Amino acid sequence: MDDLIFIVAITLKSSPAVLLASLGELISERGGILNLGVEGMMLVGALAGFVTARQSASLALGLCGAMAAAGLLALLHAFLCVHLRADQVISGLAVTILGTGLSSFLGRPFIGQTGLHFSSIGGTWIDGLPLIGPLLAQQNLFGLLCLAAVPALMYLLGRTWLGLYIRAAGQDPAAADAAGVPVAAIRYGCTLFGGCMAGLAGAYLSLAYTPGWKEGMTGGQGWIAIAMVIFATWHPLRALLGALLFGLLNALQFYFQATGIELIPAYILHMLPYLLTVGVLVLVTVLEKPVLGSVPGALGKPFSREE
Amino acid sequence: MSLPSSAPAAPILELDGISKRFGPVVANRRIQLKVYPGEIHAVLGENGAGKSTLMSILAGRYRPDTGRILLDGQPVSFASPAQALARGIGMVYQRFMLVDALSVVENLLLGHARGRFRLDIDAACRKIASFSQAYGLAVDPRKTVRQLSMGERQRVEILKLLLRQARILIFDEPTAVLAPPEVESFFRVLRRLSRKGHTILFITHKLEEVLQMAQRISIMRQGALVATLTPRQVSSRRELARLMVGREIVLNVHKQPSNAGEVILAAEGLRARDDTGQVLFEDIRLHLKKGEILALTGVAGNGQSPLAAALAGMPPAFEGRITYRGRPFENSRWQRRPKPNMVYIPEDRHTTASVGPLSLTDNFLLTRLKNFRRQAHLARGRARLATGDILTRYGINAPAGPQSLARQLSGGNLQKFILARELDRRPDVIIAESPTSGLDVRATEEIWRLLLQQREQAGVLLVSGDLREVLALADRVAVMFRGRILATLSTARAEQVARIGLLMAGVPEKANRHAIEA
Repeated sequence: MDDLIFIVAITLKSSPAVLLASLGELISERGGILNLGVEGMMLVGALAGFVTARQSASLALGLCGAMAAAGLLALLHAFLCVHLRADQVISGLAVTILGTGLSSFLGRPFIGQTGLHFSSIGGTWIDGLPLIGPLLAQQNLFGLLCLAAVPALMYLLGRTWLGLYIRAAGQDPAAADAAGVPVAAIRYGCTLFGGCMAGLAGAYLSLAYTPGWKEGMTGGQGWIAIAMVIFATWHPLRALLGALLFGLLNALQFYFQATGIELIPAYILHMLPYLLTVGVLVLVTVLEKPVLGSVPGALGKPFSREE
Repeated sequence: MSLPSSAPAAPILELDGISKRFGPVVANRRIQLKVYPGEIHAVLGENGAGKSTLMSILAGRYRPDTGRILLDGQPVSFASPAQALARGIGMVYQRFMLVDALSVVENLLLGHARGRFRLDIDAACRKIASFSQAYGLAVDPRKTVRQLSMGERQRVEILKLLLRQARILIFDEPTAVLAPPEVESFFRVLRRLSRKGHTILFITHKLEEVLQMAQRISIMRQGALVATLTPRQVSSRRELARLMVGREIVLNVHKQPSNAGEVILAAEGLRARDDTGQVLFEDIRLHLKKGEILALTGVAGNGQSPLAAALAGMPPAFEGRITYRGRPFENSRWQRRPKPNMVYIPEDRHTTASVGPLSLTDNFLLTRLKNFRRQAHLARGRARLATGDILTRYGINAPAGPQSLARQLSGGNLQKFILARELDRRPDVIIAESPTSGLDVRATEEIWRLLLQQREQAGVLLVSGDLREVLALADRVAVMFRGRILATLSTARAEQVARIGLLMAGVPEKANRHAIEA
């Protein structure tokens, strides 16, 4: 039983970064912009979040800092893709390289420093709750709040005019434009939102999960988030499922380490998130029939009114 | 009919000296046009006459280089279609501007739902239902656009404009994608709109439609407006055609009765599905004889194109058997087999049948490589001569001869080039898909002649949704609907010809459920 609680608790704790980043990417792609810059944006967000929180002594400001820094990179991506109609793949890769380089250069003085961080909510009345008490005790407020983003985005996409505009801009920008949807503005907004979410995801790592700054600390979670959007077939609820799956693999790794029972070698577990991603891509491509409803038809395609 | 010539009403819309050029091409030249409230006004002209450009200027998609647009007597200028629509001018384009993956109601909410954050789908559906009722535009608001027929999509487009209070509705070739019965119901909608005070402008090149529907007719030729008249002032279709083309034309290619010989290509029990499991075509049985033209017709999207491609040995993969010159082939063997004596003229002449940035010589070599190479060596000089030769023999107008790029040719000349390239190797089976779509009258006539000539030594399978073309060329017509051949009819027999339209719309007929082989 304790083992199970341990695994579930770690699963919950290690999934929010991927969840946030993939939800952001999901909105961006629903609007028609593929953002391969997530990894870079997460790194920049992680550093900016950590540094801002440390200097201002405020976690809230830290989160704002993370969103602002990653949001700036997202604006660059949006400017290239929406305004200049550049190739989205190339622009996204450039942003990742830029973000990785920038964060490792600017972050050098902060390596090994300590700062503020979100602490777990244990040690209060929560411990006493039956069953979920010990589970929740190890979580922090930030990570739990992330879960609220899932229903919020489902509501936004399905039930509001803004969601309708986003879906239209990603499905058929020419038709959306003809109907009076400000396609460029929507796409800018979606990309910016995706960037801010990636920034928050980075900040989760540097302010909650493994407090502190370490070069390349995202460890490829940005790429996993992008794959998870496909796994989720562009649906927020399934994105949560994907993120939890990622968290579970992570937790198993810890569990085997802690107990010394190596059912599956650590190396394999290290590889699993990536293997899972590959597997998911294959599966989605093979089984694409029943889930095609929400695939943004114009994903990755620049839009201009002249054509 | 209350005709504006006698009516004192002021024009609702006036174009004063509108000109528009795209690079060196003058699309519109000092256009003067008055449109009166509540009238149905046809804009008639050949392809490339500048009709679409002019209407797009009205709808705010393009800005005129010179000239003024007066709406209710006031000069207006639109920076976008949205601005034009805000002033009550809306346009239904040939390519419908609907988001296929969204439902009808979502499409209709797009662009003017910004009142409250939450969408009220139910209220919107009720509003749509009341408009549908008032204008006779039946459509289920909760269906996804992808599930709708072309006629239904057109109704959604009209509803979209009506919901935004458009007073002037512009239609670009509205009947091009409709089956004949859908055309009738579309015309009823037009009349009802006009009775309710809406002003209708529609672009067309079909003379019958103009005479049937229009209260006034404006004729465009080479970017200029050459005349505006009422149907009473038109003495005959021939006169209308002369005004449109600028010379006497008779769209009557002389066709001798066919002299059909042995069966050269036959198909038995063909069926195929697309990636998503949807049936493309099934239960196909047909045969093509040497010396005849067999037309495969139907409203676009009923399986004719995939069937033609499959017969030509291209994807999709199919089940069933094809017999060519008496030898049977199963599906995959048919696709792999080289077919030196069969030619396929795809519909998309710009991207499938030719490579735009390559020269005509290179394009010639694309399908004729075999005759012009020895191992790796390419006999380009000889190929250039051969290309030049077909340019002269087929009267193809190319700015720089064989060295012209394919994309420099006009649609008609490019199509002639593609036909010439393929016909020059003396095929025995020709599969031609919509060979004259988008071409003007003159080019159409020449393509038709070329195809008729081929009937002497080959079997021609013509895939076309244009009934005029089908009746002008074909000896037999196979009508497709939802992937099946409903009937094969003879064009020589008037009572069979009369049924083609209904069959295209899928109206079931017990009498000819079993194909009549002429």
